Formats: sequence, structure tokens, C-alpha cells
Amino acid sequence: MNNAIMPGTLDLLILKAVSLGQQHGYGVLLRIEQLSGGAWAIEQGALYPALFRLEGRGLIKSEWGVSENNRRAKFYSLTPAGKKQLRLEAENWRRTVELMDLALGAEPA
Amino acid sequence: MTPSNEIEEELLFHIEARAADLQRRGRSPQQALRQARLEMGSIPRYVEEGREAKGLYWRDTAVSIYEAILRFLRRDPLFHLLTVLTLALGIGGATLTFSVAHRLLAGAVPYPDTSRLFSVRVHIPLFASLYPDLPVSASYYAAWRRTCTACEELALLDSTSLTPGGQEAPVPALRVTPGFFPLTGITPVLGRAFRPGEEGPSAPRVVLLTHHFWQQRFHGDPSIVGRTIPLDGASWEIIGVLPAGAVFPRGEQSGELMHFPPQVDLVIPQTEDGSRAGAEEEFRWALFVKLRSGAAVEEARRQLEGELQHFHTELRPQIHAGLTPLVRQFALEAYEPLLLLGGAAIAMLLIVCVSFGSIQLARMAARRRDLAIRSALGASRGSLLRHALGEGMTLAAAGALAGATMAWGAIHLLRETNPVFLPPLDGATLYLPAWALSASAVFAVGAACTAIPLLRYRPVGNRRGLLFCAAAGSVALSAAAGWLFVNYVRVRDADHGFEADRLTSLCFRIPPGTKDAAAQQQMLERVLRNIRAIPSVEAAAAANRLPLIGEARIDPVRRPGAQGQGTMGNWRHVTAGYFGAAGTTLVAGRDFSEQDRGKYVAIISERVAREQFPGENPIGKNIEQPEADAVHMATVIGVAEDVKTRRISWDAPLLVYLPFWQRDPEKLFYLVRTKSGHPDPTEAAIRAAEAEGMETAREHIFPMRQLVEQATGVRRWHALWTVGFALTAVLTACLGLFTTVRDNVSRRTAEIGVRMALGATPFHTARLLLRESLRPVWLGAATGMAAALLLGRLFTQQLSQITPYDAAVAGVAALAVAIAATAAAYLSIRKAVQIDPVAAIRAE
Repeated sequence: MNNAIMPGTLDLLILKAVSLGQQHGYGVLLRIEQLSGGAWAIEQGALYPALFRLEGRGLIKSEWGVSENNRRAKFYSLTPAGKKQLRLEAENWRRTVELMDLALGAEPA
Repeated sequence: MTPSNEIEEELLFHIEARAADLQRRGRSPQQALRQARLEMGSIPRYVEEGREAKGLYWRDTAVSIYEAILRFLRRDPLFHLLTVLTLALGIGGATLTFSVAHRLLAGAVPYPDTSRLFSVRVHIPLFASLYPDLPVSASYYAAWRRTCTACEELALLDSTSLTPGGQEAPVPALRVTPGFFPLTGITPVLGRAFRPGEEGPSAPRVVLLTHHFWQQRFHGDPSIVGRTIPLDGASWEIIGVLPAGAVFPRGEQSGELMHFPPQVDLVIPQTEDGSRAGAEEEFRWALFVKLRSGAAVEEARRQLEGELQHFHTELRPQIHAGLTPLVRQFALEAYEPLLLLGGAAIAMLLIVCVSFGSIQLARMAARRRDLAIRSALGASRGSLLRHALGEGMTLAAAGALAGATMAWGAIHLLRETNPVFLPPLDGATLYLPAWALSASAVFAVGAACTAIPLLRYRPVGNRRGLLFCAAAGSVALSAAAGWLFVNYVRVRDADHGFEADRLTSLCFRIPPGTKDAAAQQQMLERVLRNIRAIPSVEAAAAANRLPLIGEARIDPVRRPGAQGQGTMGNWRHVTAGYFGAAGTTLVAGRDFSEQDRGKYVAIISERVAREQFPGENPIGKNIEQPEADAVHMATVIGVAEDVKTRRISWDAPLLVYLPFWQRDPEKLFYLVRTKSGHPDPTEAAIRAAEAEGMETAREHIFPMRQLVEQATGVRRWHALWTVGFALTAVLTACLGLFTTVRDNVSRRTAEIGVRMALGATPFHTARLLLRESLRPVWLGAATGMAAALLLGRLFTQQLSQITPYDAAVAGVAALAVAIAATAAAYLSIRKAVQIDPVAAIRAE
């Protein structure tokens, strides 16, 4: 099975990962891998432009802090707008999946 | 920390954390780090993508420009400083010229439909030796108004002064016909303007106040209209107040012989009755006309001139009307220089652009290896371009800003000092479109020369062509500047008929109480005696007019019994010793002396001798001064060299000097020559005159040198301005050459090494390199010189203010540019030819 994530879903996954608690970039990556049970691998560098884009849209915010191994790192958390967006996109996603199911499950009449 | 570094730090933290994880899973530290890096992908790419995602592009560009400036200052600081300086001079010089031209040509006549406004003057061949044209006579006005169908409005105007209420000082006033208001578009803010018919001897006593006079005297009283004001003892009705920005002609802005006050307080109707006897002989009114829309200037001129034939029975048909655009008339003597300077500014700006382009091309060529490496490492073309542009445009931006500052400062300085030969510059400021245009020209050429080599993937452009153009342009511009400068110096130092150095003009008035002519004569003689007794005075004399400050009395000059009227000449009164004191050479005969007292004697100028006594000795012959009521005759006792009386560019007029005892010496100019190396005797002379009871007219005390400087001011200004342009052009051209040659040489380092290893001396190598690099420059210099000679011939035919060009000056200009270019090229190869051959061969 192809273990790259579907195009366009990275933003939603990041929002979900960040919604579970403040994380630095590497933490977000681990969380996504963990959420998918290790099935999805993200091209690691690509995570960052996505993070900055979300931050630019005001869905997540960041602050510099200290990591578990005492290094300076940037931590991301969800903004209220991000929470709303996550709810909305998750809902959209579920509907899409339902509709796709329906469409793909159709039998010739 | 810069934003890019923040992104990088975040990515590095990621790699480190990932490596630590991998290490925990049993990888060796090196393996872990390598795998973490591989998984991350290209750091520079993600930094760049991240930056774009963050919308940091502009912030980063600003930062990189800042960094670029720092880098420039560290690397090659002198070169970059010079580049910025020349760009600043180029952009600033062009902006300054266009701003001044815009103010003086476009902004000076703030009346609507400027292109239809003209000043009318008449040309009379009889007076042509004194004035190319004259103001009009008031007697023409009524006829012109009736018959000039091409004219929409006519306005006759002159200035006067009126004394408000009793003992106060007189205030300046303008006298105008009603047409002045529709013609200029000036409408009162309160009340009304003059109605048609409110002119001529029967005009009612109505007056308009200018805004500042209304504010100053009536504190802006809004109910002023309808009240009366006493002027010169009569009662005048105030009918309106003019707007604050109303602009009236000033000084000689309506042409020679008309003097308008610098500021106007009152405007009253024109009361001149043109129909009275002798009125048509008085040429002392300014006339402005507004042509009908679509009417041809020549048509209007013909109509005006046709009507003139009904006047002056004795002059016709030798009287002509001339129309000068008001814009041109208002710009005074600055008009032609401004047009020329505008052209020179454009030429200079083009040379600066071309040179900056060649600098950028050479810079890009020098970086080709660096660019190739960056490109191989995955840098996008866009990012390479941004970097390259960032550097070049930093220079251009710094130059544009510095140029704007320089132009702004220069304009405000000019405004403060407003030289006499320039029309009033108040309100002049930086003309932004001019600056924007000059700066964008530099930016556009610079950017194109940066981008083209990159986009074509071939970082070498046609720099020879640019060097050729820059050299040719610089030579042509330098030649033009050289001509103007030589012309200025020639005119300044030419013999104007007197020796200006160490000569001071003073002016004393005989107090009004001394009515008796004999007493006045004695007073004048005592004063002169006392002044001559001052130890530092070499000579002193008096005259009713001095050189270069106009005419005293204009009357025909003719021989008794000659046919016709003779030619108009300038009759002056001088004391004995005048010619010696002024430094005017007597070419024949003798000066006035005591024995001449009571006799009618005269000294004539060379031109009178030439024209009235061709091929004869005039000494002992008679000359006539026909006045309205009598004819005076005098015997010629001497011939003096010609003297310029008004403009230095005009020919000396016919001059006849009479001894001072034939006139009342109420107000005379005293010429005092100081002994070489002695202190200035001015104060002592003033004390000597005041001790005799004379009044000093301080405004007429000045060194005669100053008069010459003023008279040649336009030329000096013009010449120095163009010299500045030429220097800027040559400097940028040399910088372009320097960069190009430096790049050529650095590319040939290995070849130079081989040559030197094979025994070539540094001198021979330098000569070879110079010859190759300078070929386009020498070709350009030769072409520029040829072009300059061609253009010079064209301009001399077109413009009156330029005397015949000089091939020698063009040659010197070409030589100077060639020497400067050789020096610039030599500077850039000097290091290369002193290099150790082995190191040079390794360099590639």
C-alpha cells in the first residue's frame, strides 16, 4: 500500500495533531505517524512550510520554548480559529468519505 | 535573528531530535545523523518555501538589501561609493534641471490657456541699434482692440506708485485695462473686477486691493468693498479684493525697458489717453494678448502690424509688431539656457544609465562562476535574480535617494539666493515626476542589464557597445560644456569698454534745496576734488549713467545737413577725467577740459565715428542732437572706444558724451578707482560727499566687477551647470569602463600568467591589455568629437547665446575623456600585471 498521505490532507492532520496538545515540529510529525499507526510517512521537511502556512492563516500559533532535551524549540498550539476550522474540516472529511463510500459501493442496476 | 535563520534553526532542531530518536533505536551517532538529514530533504529549499509560506519575502528582501549594503561597504567600498555618487549626481542633476525648468517654463505663468497668451512688442529699425524691440505705445491700444479679430482679449499695463492717506510712503500699483482680468483668469475674491469701459482718462476712481495689502492694512475686513481710500490726495472707491495667489509680471518679465515692482499692493484702471499729442512716441506700455482659440499667431501679428501703419507717418512702413509667448517672456534670459540645459540633462542621464548598465553587466559577468554553482545547487532562477537585482538596485536606490536630497537642497538654495538673472523662483520645489522619471530610467537600465545575462544563461553581454556609447556621449557633452565655459570666460573678460577691476560705483544726490545750477556745479566739483584727495584713490569722475546699467537720454545722432533722422543714440553727460577713471580708451582727440567751459563740445564713440564719419577724421566736425523743440550742435573733440550699455550680448550702441556742465547734476554716479593694493576708499568717499551736504544713494554703491558678474551670470550658471553634467557623465563612464576591464582581466588571469612566465614584462602586458580594453572607448571618443562638432554647428545657428564653436575645445574634451578612461582602465589592470606568474596560472 502507498504510505504517502493523500494530497491536501496534511493541513487537517497537522491541526488534529496540534489540537491534542502543544507540540514542536518534530512532535507534530511523530504524533501524525502515531495517529496513523505508523502507516503514513510525511516527507519531513515538507511539514514546515505547511506549519508556517497554517500559522500565517492564524489557525495555529507558535512560541519559542525549551524541549524535553533542553534545546530551544518552537512550539505550536491551536488558536480558537484553528479549533473551529478543525471541526469544520473534520465534518467535511466525514461527509466526503460517506459520499465516496456510497458512490463506490454502487452496483450496476 | 533574521527570519531565515529562525526557520533554519527549527529545521536543525528537527534533525537533531530525529537523530536522537534513531540513536535510541540502535543506530550509531553518525548513521543517525545521516539518516535524519536524508529524511529531512533539502534544507535550503524548505527554508525558502517556509519563507514564502510565512509571507516573509519582502521582509527578507529588505534584510538582504541591508546585508548587501553592509557587504558592499566592506568589499570595494570606494568603488561602490563612487557608483552611488555618480548615480546621485546624475539623477539629482536631471531632477534639479527639470524642476527648475518646470517651475520657470510651465509654472511661471499661472494663467489659463497659457499657450494662447502672448506679449506684444514693436520693432523699429531706427532704434534697433539700442533695442531689438520696444514696449508698445498706449495710442495703439484702442485701434488694436477694434481691429484685431484674432485677439480674444488685450490688456495694456504699466506700473506706478500711489501714496495712501497723507504722509505715508508710496505703495506699488499696477495700472491695467479691464481685459487684464479675463486674460489672466484672476477674479476678485470679494467685489468685482474693472468693467469694460473703466479705462482711459474718464475712468472712475476705483481700486482693487491685493490680498496681502488687504490683510496688512485692513486686517482682512470682509466689509471693505464700497469703502473709500485716500490715494495721492484723492478719494478712491475700493471695488474688490484680489485672491492671495494672484501673480503679476515682475521686473523685466514683460521685456526690456519695462520694470514692474517685485510686489503689487493696488490695481487701478489704466488712465492713459493714447490719443493725446505725442502719445505714439512713448513706448512704455506692456501689452498682453490672448488669441482666440484656433487663431494663428501670424494672423494676429499681421493684424496688429497692419494697424501700426496708421501711426508714425515718419516711421512707416518701418515698424513691426512681434508676439512672444508669455511663457518665454516671463522666463527672461533663462529661457534658452533652460532648454539647452534640459537637453544636456537628458544626455547626461542617458550616459549615466548606459554606464550603470555596463557596470551591472560586468558585475554579472564577474559572478558567472558563483551563479553557476548556486544554480547547480538548486537555487531557482528567481532567487538568483532577486539576489543579483538586490545588490544592483541597492546602489540605484541609494543613488536615487541621495539624488533627490541633493536636488531638493539645491532648489531650496537657489530659492534663497535667487540669482538676478533668474526669474523669481519662489514656490519652486522638487518636481517629483521628474525625479521619478530620472530614477526609473536608471533602475530600468540597471535591472535589464542584470536580468538579461541571467535569463539568457549567458552572463556576457555586449559591453563594448555600451562603452562606446558612454564614451561618445561623454565627449560630446564635455565638448558642449567646454564651449559654454570658454564662451563665458571670453565674454566676462572681453573688453566691454571699461576696466571693471578696482572700480567702484557710488551715487550721491544734491539735496532738493539747492536749486541754483551754478551752486550745484560747484558742489559736484568740490566733492570730486575731495574724493580725489583720498590717498587710496587713483582717479574719480562722475557721469549721469554708467556702463551696463542702461541708457540716459535717447535722441537721434546725425551730422548737420544730413538727410533723414540719423540713428538713435545714447547721449550722456560726464565730467572731465571720466574716461581715465572708467578705463575707457580715447582712441583719438582729447578729453574735456576747463577751456571747453561754455563751448558746445562732444566726444563720440567709435561706432558713431564709423557710421557718421566713414573714412573721415571726425575731430573738429559737428554733430547734431535734434530734440523736440530745438536742435543742439556740438563739435567733436575726441573719439572713445565703444562701451556696452545694457546687455553684454548686444552690440555697443551709438554713444555721444557731453560735458557735465551742460546739464543739472542732481543725481550722478561717481566712479572711483582704487590704487592697486590700497584699502577700499568707499567709506572715505561717502564722508567726503556728505561733508559737502550730498545725500548718499546706498543702493547704487557696488563694485563694477559685480556688474559684469551679474551681466554674465546666466552664462556662468549655464556653463558651470553643464560642466557639472559633463563631469558626472565622464565619471560614470570611467566607472563602467573600470568594472568591465577589471572583469576582462580577471578572466584572463591564467593567460596573463602564461605571458609573464614566457618573459613578457608588466609594462608590455599592461600595454596589450589597455590597447584591447580601450579600443571601444577611443572609437567612441572620436565619434563623440565628430558628433559634437556637427551638433555644435547646428546649435550655433539656432541659438543666439552661443558664439561660434571651437574645434580645439572639442579636441581637449576628447583628450580629457580618453586620459580619464585610460587611467580608469590602468587602475583596474595594475594589480593583474604585478601578479606572480605561477599563482596566476593556478588561478583557473
